[in-house]
Amino acid sequence: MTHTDWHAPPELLTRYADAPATIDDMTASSIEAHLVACAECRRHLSATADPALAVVSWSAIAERIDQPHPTPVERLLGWVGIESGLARVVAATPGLQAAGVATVVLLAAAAALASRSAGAVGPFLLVAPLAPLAAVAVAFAPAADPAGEAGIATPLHGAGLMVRRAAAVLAVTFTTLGLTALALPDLGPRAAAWVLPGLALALGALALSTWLRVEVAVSALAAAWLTAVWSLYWAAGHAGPVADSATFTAVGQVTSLAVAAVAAALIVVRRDRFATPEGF
Amino acid sequence: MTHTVSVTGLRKRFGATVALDGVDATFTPGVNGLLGPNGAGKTTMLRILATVLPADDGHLEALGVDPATAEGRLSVRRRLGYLPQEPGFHQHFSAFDFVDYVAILKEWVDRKARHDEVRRVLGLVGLEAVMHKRIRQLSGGMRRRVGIAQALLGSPDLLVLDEPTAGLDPEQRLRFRELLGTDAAGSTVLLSTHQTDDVAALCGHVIVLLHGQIRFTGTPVGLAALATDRVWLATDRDPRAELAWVTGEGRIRHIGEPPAGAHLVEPTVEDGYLVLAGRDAHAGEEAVAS
Ligand SMILES: Nc1ncnc2c1ncn2[C@@H]1O[C@H](COP(=O)(O)OP(=O)(O)OP(=O)(O)O)[C@@H](O)[C@H]1O
Ligand SMILES: [Mg+2]
Repeated sequence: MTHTDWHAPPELLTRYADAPATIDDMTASSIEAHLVACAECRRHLSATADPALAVVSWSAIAERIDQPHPTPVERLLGWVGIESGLARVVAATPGLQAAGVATVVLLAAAAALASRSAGAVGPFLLVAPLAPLAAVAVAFAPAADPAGEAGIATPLHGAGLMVRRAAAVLAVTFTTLGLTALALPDLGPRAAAWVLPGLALALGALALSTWLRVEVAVSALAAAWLTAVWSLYWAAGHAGPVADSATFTAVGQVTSLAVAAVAAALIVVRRDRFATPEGF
Repeated sequence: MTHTVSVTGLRKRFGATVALDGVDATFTPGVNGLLGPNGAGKTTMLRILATVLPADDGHLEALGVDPATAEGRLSVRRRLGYLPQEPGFHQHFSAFDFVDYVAILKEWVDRKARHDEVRRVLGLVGLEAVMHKRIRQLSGGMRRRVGIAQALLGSPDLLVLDEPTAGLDPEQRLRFRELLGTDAAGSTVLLSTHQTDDVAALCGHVIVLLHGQIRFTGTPVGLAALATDRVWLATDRDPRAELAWVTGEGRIRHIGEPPAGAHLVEPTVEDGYLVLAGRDAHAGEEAVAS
């Protein structure tokens, strides 16, 4: 390592500590970079400078340099108001980085395109609730924890982490879908009818994942959703737009709300059952 | 002193393999060592104690609670530091990122306080200079020290360390011993190792596991004493010896009956351990023969 071969000149360090304003930015940042790597110069700095000042400024410098560089996903999470530590926990999951964002954005785009080309709100309402479902699948991707086994032995592991991850991912998903829906022209108030089914599906998948593997839970619910929408539409004589079928009117909305509430209660009751590699 | 961790009748099997076969043990504050050959069940026992693996049977109490319940597990995890034998590291993380990430999982919410703590533990293992390097660019011993650093976050009351000294150079092993004496003073440390000199230098209490069962429990001095009057130095190899090997000085160290012209030497922890393990190996041979 080169840091042991070279040391900052003592008088420069003293000036850095006593009169930082007299040092140009380039030199200051190269001193700082060197200080991080060199215990000897740190000792020298704290010996020459006022000790209290040295401690404070060392800590402040280290804080600036150690600032982890947020990834694009972390920044995105920050925009929707998610605190940085949590953003890191969510974004650090490898599967989430690319696949997660891509899936959600693709589904939202597909939903919007389908509605645009059909000139009706139906296709968007049908596809949009699947995006939160995909988001849950991604948040729970197996082997997702980058801290490996050390991460299991922490208080946040299990339901705490799962629910936080899911909440963060769902916040992003709903924001994305919300913006997409706004961008669609002439859809009217019915355009919001995807929100409650989407929430019901996402919470339902979380609740089911305490019994089943998450991929199984998500696929089953996706199939159930498509089946329900089409059978209700056909049962009502498949006339008129899909958006006017039972799923997206009062009955469907109230049912979705009820399903979401039951799922939320199940998640709370069964919070100890969120699967981990070895069964805890 | 009253115990802080106790296990009774602990059992664990993986398919047909019995990894733990009814283990009873208690541990007190201080350093407790776990010795045993490959596959003896050390890792399995430590993983159960670290709440990452449920036992099939038996009772476990750690820091006054039962980790088999969700509340107990949470309470233990808040006061636990754990170094797995094979910690997984995220490809893109630097040492700092990794320890910071674990600190987030350990509920260090305040970012400034968390980062100060991350720097403190990385300093304890002497990694200040490389903490912003990607973990995959670090040497094996440095990676081990990153693992030790995350276990030390928040000076936990219970430290479970699976082979912490594997791959450390002599200076770092010494440093590790020092820091257990200072930073971990007062906590209950459970560590597994294949290094009997670590046990002699560090541990107040040692247990030897063989085939998932406890074969010795006591002090390192007590373990060494198992070989009293059984360790000999001679110039030639004696075929009747249970175990015999060439020492650095070219003499032959024997465990067993005294060979001709040999003289008795003071036993070490390693000799005591080999007497136990050797006896076991012989028992195994007899079982195969009969
Ligand atoms: N996840 C697993 N699946 C199947 N078998 C396992 C698993 N973990 C451990 N075992 C088996 O249990 C036994 C005990 O293994 P364990 O890892 O506890 O040994 P150890 O004492 O830590 O060994 P070492 O010194 O090599 O680390 C071995 O026979 C091993 O093959
Ligand atoms: Mg092991």
